[in-house]
Parts: sequence; C-alpha cells; structure tokens
Amino acid sequence: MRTNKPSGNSLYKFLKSIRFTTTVLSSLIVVYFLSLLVPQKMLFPTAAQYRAWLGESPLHRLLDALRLTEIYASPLTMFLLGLFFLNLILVAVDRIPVVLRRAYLNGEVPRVDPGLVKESSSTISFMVAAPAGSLADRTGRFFRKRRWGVVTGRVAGTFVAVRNRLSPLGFFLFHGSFILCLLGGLVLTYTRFTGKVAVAEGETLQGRLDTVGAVVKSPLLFRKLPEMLLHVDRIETRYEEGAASDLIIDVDSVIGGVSRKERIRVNEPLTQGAVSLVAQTVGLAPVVVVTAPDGRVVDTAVVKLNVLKGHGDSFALGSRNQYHITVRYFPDYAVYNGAETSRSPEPRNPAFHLVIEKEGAQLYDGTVRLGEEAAMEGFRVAFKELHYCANFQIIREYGQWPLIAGFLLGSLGLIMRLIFYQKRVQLVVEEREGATMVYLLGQAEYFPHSFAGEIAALAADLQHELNGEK
Amino acid sequence: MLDTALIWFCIYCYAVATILLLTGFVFSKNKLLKIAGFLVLPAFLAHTTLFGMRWVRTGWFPANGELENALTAGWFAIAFTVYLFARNRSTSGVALFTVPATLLLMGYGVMKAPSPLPMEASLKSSWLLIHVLFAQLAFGSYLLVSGFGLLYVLKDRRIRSENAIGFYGRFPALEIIDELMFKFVIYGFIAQAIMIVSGSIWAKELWGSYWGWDPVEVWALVSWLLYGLSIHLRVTLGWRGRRLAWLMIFLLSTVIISYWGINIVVENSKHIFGVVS
Repeated sequence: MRTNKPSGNSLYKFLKSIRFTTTVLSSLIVVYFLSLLVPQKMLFPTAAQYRAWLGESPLHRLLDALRLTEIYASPLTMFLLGLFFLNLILVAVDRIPVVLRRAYLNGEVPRVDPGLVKESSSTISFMVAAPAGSLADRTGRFFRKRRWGVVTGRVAGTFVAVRNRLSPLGFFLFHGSFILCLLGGLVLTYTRFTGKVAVAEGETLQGRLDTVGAVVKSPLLFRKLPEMLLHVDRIETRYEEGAASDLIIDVDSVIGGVSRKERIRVNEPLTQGAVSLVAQTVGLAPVVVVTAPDGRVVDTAVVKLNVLKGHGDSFALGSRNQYHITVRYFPDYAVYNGAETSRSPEPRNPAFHLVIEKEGAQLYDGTVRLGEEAAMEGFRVAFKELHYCANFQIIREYGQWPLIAGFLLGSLGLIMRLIFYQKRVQLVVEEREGATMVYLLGQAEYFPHSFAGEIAALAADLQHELNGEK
Repeated sequence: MLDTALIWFCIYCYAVATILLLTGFVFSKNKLLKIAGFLVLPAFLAHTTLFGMRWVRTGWFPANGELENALTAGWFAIAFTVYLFARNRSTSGVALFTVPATLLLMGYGVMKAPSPLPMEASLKSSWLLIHVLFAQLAFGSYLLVSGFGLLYVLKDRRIRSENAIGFYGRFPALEIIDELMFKFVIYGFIAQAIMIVSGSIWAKELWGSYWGWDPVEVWALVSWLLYGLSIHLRVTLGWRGRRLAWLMIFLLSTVIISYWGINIVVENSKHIFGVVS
C-alpha cells in the first residue's frame, strides 16, 4: 500500500541527496566548461577591445545580452552555487549523528552481534589457552600498543578496536571548509577595492586610495578607504638572456598612518593591513623637454609610457594638447634589413621612434636617441632623461582569514578522511567447551580487499600475544 | 651537451619500452614486459639525473617552459611506476600507460623548447616549488589511475570473453586493481587540492587576487570537481568495476587540458608566462 508523504519532506530528502549533489556539481561543471568556449569579458585586455569584439557579430551581442560573457557572475551560476551550498549544509547537518556514531562520540556503547561476527566468511578465529575473563585487558593493551582505540561492546565479551577513530570528523572539516571559503570569498568580493596607478621614479602620490589612480572596482561594503602616501625612490629592472628576471621598486609609504620603507618585487607585494600594492608591469617615464626656436625651454614634463615589450604608446603636448606624439621604444636600437628593431630588452642603446601629428597632419616621423631632438614647426622635442615608472594594482579587501582557514581545514579534512581512513575490528571472546575462542571481523573503509592481509597479520600477532608466544 | 644526451637517452629507452609494452600486451608476451621493465630503470636513472641537474643549475624547481614541465611530469609518472614495480611486480602493468605518456610528454617538450630557458621574474617564488610539485604529484597519480583503469578494462574484458585469465594472471585481482585505482585517485585529489590552494595564495602575491577565473584555473577546478565527483560516486553510490575504470581513463583528459591544452588554444591566459619558447 502506498502512503502519501508530505511533499516538503520529499523535497528536503531530495535536496540532501547525493543525486542532487551530483546534478548540481555536473551543472556547475557544464557552466564552467561553457566559460572556456565563450570569451569572457574580464579576459579582454581593454574595454575597447571587448566593444570591438561585440561589434564583430550579432552572436557576440547575443552572448553579451545573455550575460554568458560574464558567466561567473551570471544569475545562473549564482543560482547553482546557491543550490550547491544549500546541499552542502543540508548534507552536513543530516550526517551529524552518523558521523558522531562512526567516530564513537555519540556516547552509545557499540553493539557487536556475536552471531554475525562468528558466521561471517571473513572472520578469523583462533583458540587461546587462557580464561576469557583475563583476555579483555590483554586484548585492549595489544591494540592500544598499536595505536588502535578499544571500545567495549554492549554484549559481554565483545569489543571494537578502531584505528583512526576520529577520521569521520574529516567530513565536517572538508565540507565546512567550503562554507568558510564561500564566506571568505563573499567578504573579499564585497569589501574589495581595486585601483590602478602608475608612479614614476622620484614621484610621490598622496590621497585616499580611490583618488590616487584609476578605480577598477569600488567596494560595496566598508566603503571608507584609507589614506595613502607613496613615494617611489628607485626602480630597477634586471634581465637574464633577454628575459625580465627581476624588478625592484624601493618605496616609502604611509598607509593608514603606518610609515614604512619597503622593497617591492614581483611576487613580493607591499602589504599593510588590508591594503596591498602589487607591482604589475613597468613602463618608461622619460623627461620630455620642448625648446622654442629661440632656444628657450617652453615645456618640461615627465610622461608615463607603456612602451616596453614592443608596445606603442602616445601622449599629447602643447598648451592645448594640440601635438599628438606616438612613441615606439627600442631599448637596444639596431636596424636590420632596413627595419628598426631592438637587439635585447636591456637599455643599452635606447632610441624612440616618434610620429608627431597636429590636427591629423604629420609633422615628424623619425627616430631619436636619448638627448637628440625632433623638430616640429620650429620647436624641438627631446627625451632628456630616462626613468622608469611602476604600474601598481592597489587592493583593499577583508576576508582572507576565513578563506585561508577554509583552505587549511579543507586540506586537513581531506587527509583525515581519505588517507587516515577508519579501520575497525569487531572482536568476540567466548568460552566454548573448556577453551577460549577469539573471533575477529575486520572492516576498512574504501579498501576492504587490501585490508584482508593486514587483518590476517594482526590476528596472528594477537594470537601469539594472547598465548604468551613471542 | 650532457643534457641533450640524457634527454635523448631517456626518449629512446621510453620509445623502445613503449614498443615492447604494446607488443607484450597485444600478443600476451610476458618476456617483453620484463625486458621493458628493465629498460625503464636506466631511463629513469638518466631522467632523475637530468631532473636534478636542471634543479641544481637554476636553483629553482624545474618548471620553466615546456621541456622542464614535461621532464618533471614524466619523472613523477615514472617514479610512481618504478615504486610500484619495486613493491609488487604484479602492479607494473600500469607502465603500459605511464611510459608512453612520458614518451609523448618528453617528445613534446623537446620539440617546443630544447634548451634551458631563462627564469622569468614572475616564476621566482617559493610557491613555485609547492604549486608545481603538487601539480605534478597529482598528474603522476592520475596517470597511474588511468593506467590501472586501462589494466582493469583489459583484464576484465579477457575474463569476460574467454572466461580465463591467462596472460592477465600476472596482474593483481580486479578488486585489488580497483582499490589501487581508488588509492591513487585519493592521492591525486589531495595533491590537486593543495596545488589549487597554493596556486591561489601565489596568485594573490603575483596578480593581486586569489582567484581570477583564468581558463587554467577554471579547468583545474573543473578537473578537481570531477575527480571529487568520482570519489563520491564510488563511496556513496557504490560505483565499481568497468564503469568506474572507464570514467577514470576519461578524467585524465581534463588534467591534460588543464596543464597543457589551455595554453595551446587560449591566448589570454595569465598562466602563459613571459618567456615563450
């Protein structure tokens, strides 16, 4: 006869089932897989490039409209993540009694059925020439010496020896770590401020974090940002066989009232409280001097150019910014087969290819070395000194401790649960026809077949021990 | 010079061992498998010397460029195989998978970057050792898992079709292969988790955020979740045997895509470091 159970109960059972976990995880995997096929907005180097990509095809615009180009923050992904964590919490809560029972922490005396132990085909038995009453202590000592826990069973003459008794608790650590990571991730996301700033050697920046450079992301929580003073003393780049092998930036900083003299490198950001400064790239910051036809210096400026790695960059000069100057930089200038090139990335023979335009008309197109001048309408432009500028990412965020704790607990939980898995031996000691019989039934999580050899060896050792043989 | 000689010695040994292993399995020749085993040992010694030389020369864990990555990944795969061979020769059948895989990896590495590359600033971090070590430990374990999966499928098919074990009698019982497969899944899963965690901490120092949804990161996560799912399928839903073995063979593709595939097809991954061979 079928009984109608309340639908709420069925829904609860479904939400905490492994099938639901599998479905949600599989769906998330499909979504993440999709993110590799659909170009993601965040991976375009500039917003202009993304807009250009959108203009290429109606399909691209459709993907954008469906928010598939921002798939990680899309409502679908958020919904699936929500279901995943709901499932995680329900499963964890549901398994509390089971896990406590398996770890022998629920206060119950374990029930060992002597009949079942004696009848199992995997049971090992042997005879001992000693009364049953004297074996309890000796058996306990035997197992404890081998770092097994021993729990006396409900029925007289029954015991359970357990190796890695607390292993089931790893389940809580591992699943709880997801919750901590989620919590940390949410706090990080909602409190994160990201900005970008380029600072030249000798330059000082001062102000609130969101006023010193370009804001990439404003925080949704903890909107009050600290003040920062940053002075870059020196930037040094090192090269090894044509590769940038090191970047050293010496800075003086005051962040949140704390003054520090620090060396920033790639992989070694400056961190002060919740604020960190990550060196991302370096650019050039030459001193540009403009001289009038009568020899007067009419303008001197430090311009920041991202021209390393062969990229071109541009800047404007003049009282109305009427001169547009495009720059290509050759750190070790050479001409091969009529083409300008650089022999290495090291600044051994720096030169700049300049194209100067005014209102669309080209005034100059040529290459100048450091100190040489380019002529434009009687004025002369020269790059007098060569300095570097560092491009920093400024971050202010909270929430890393739950994340790190999640990482640690998750790893610990996995190791506890999967490497130090539980092994259990049910023991029955009984007197029969004047002799004492010991029955052992071994069980191991995950690897019952591999455990057969271990339990046989353990039983042999126990037999020797109880019979007083060495 | 010595580098090149050692690389080619390894490649030739692994190539001959691959031929012997394939022939041995196809024609059920035990002797060929034994010879292959003894060819792998000197190749592994040369491989270890090469690995050590690279490490000592640069002072950094060999992970710079395609060849070093191939050398390291292959070294772990062969080290696991040799370890199993030394412990219990009946498990050495996994070499049918690990030796050809190492051969392909080293061939790819030599093709892409035959000489040592200068170490780029972004790779100079203490996290490199931890991140790459666990990545390669995971890869080595998963390669072994697939090897056991293949062994399981082959042995199971022989038993089903001929109702006799014959040549496959030299390999462990199906239940044991199944458990060995699961042991290495666990090992790989934990190593991959540590790889992801250490990579995340390193990313915070290098790029400013723990997780950037970079294609390589996403694939590493997808692959880890899939292996996690396979653990759940075995432990909770009781998946065993051929079905699980095929799944394990298939899952290796997700790791290969994550480690090597993405950087071939995607241009904007942060995981493509500056020095390109």
